[in-house]
Amino acid sequence: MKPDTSSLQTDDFDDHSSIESTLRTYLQPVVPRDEFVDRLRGKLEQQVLPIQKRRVISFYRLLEVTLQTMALMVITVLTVRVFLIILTTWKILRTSNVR
Amino acid sequence: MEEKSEEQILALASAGDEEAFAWLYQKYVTRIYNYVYFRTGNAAEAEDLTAKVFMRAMKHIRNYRDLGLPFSAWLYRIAHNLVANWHRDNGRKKEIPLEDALPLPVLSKHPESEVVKREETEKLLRIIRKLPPERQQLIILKFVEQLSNAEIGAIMGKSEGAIKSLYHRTLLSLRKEYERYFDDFE
Repeated sequence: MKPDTSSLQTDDFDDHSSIESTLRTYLQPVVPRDEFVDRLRGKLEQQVLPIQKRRVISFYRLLEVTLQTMALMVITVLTVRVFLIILTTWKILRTSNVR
Repeated sequence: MEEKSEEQILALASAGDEEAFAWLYQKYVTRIYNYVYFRTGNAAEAEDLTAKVFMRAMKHIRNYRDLGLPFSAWLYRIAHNLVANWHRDNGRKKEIPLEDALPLPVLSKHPESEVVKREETEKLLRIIRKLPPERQQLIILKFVEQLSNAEIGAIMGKSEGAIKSLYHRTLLSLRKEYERYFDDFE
C-alpha cells in the first residue's frame, strides 16, 4: 500500500522556504521525562561526593604511607643499633670472661 | 545563583562548586536531551547518552577554560562525540521504533491529528538521518534548538559564513533525499 505522504510531497519544495516551513512544523522540541531529569540530578550529586571523598582519602593515604615508611626506617635503625650494642656487650663480656 | 552571571557560575562550577554545576545542569539538560534525541531518534538512548554527557562534563569541568565560546558549545561537542560513537557502535541504519518516540510537547485535542503529525515527523527524521552527521547537527541546532547561525558556528567550530553555506547545501541535499524517498514508494 502506498503511504500517505500528502503533507510531505516534494512538489511543495519549490524553494528553501517550503522546506524550512516543513522542518519548523515537524521538528518540535521534546521534553525529557521529569523522572529522568530528577534521577540524573541525583546521580550527579552522588558522584560529586565520592570524587571529593576520594581526593581526601588519597591525601590521607599518602600521609599514612609516608609515616609508615618513616616509622619503618626508624625501627630498622634502632634495631640495628640495639643489635650492635648487644653484640658489643657480648664481645666485651666474653673477653672479660676469658681473662 | 540567580543573581550571578553564567560566567561566574561557570567559574564556580570549574572550582568544584556542586550547586553551580547543578544550575548548569538544570539549564542545559533539555537542550542536550533534544539534540541527542533527534540524532538517535530513541528516547531510551537519548536518556542514556544525556546522562553520559553530564557525567563526562562533571568529570572534566575543572579543566574547562573559557575561550570565548558559549558553555553550551562545550556540552554540544561532548554530546556530538558521544552520538558519533553511538552511531559507530550501533550502525547508521538503525531503525527507530515508533513506540519509542516521546509524546510531542503540545497535546492536541484531536488524537488522530497527533498520530498523523507523529508519523510525518518520523518520515522527516528518517530522511534527515540519511544526511551526513554534520548536516544533521546543523538541522537540529537550527530548528529544534532554534539557534542563530553565529551560535551554531561557535558550536560547530565554523564561521557564520561557512554555516550559511552549509545550511544552503543541506537544504538542497534534503530536497534530493525527499525526492529519492518518495520515488522509492512509487
